[in-house]
Amino acid sequence: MTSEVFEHPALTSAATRLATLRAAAGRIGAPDPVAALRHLDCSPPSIRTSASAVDAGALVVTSAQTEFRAGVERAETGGSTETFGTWADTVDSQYGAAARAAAATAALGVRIADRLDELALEVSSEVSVIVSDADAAVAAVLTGDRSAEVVSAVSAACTAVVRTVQEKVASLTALAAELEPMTTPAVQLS
Amino acid sequence: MPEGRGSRIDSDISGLRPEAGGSATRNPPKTGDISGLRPEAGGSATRNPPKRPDRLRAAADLLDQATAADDKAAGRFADARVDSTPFGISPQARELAGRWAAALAAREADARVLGDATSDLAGRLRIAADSTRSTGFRGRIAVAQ
Repeated sequence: MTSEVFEHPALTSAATRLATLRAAAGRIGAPDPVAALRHLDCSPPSIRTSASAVDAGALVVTSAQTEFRAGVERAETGGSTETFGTWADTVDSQYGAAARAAAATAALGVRIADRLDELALEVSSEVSVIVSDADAAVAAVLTGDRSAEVVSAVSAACTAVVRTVQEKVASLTALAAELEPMTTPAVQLS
Repeated sequence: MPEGRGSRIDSDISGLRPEAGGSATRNPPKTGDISGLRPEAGGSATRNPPKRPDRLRAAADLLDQATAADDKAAGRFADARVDSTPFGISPQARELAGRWAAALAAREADARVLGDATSDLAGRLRIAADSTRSTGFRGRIAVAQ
């Protein structure tokens, strides 16, 4: 029996623990618990790398703001007009808005990665309990027992795995809602 | 007054504006600019008129550096792009991935708009510097829109 590989190592471990339950499920036509894990598979390190690039961009925006301010100070000593200064103040405030939005986006990216890690670990842990509770029934099914009691226990275990994964996946909606305000530009210049 | 440069200066007199600080922050003009942040025609520039175009051009150079940094920031945000796979294959994960992509695009747009605005200001300073030198105008320099 080959174990399946997932992007997230915790899910690979969970799939290994589910191997016998999966085999039993196949014998009685129950939902495939390993297939359910696919819906939660993810790669938090890739998201952290992305968030890190955003954070680097935020620092560059802050650096740009410093240079912008230096330029405006110099312009003021060169006799720039009040109108120039007023517009410079507006642009300057937008530099601040852009830097804050970028930093917040990066921070949320890190939190998304952390949350995906948590969900994968939680599923892995919960799956272990489910598998453990169904061990005897799984063994019975795999040896040819088709009594209602063991078939029901295996089927319930598979359903429990699917439900656990569905609950974790559903929690991603809250993260998407948090991200929503950051999907529009923070800089407003017209 | 918008937040940022002006308000920051008001609360921090430790030398964030070394060039303008002497005449503008510590000795605000008695008339004209009531914010005290910018010297008008009576500031140090008027006392040393020949340096004004040079200062404006130097200012434009600094703004060009800021523009370059804006471009660099936009590049960083573009580099942050990632496909949806790391988020997962569920509809919820794809929605999350889509919003992450939209957030990155918004940050990139922010940086590019700032770059354009800053570049525009640099151009106006150069025009003002050149017109001052060519006309011999020694009054208040029109660099505004």
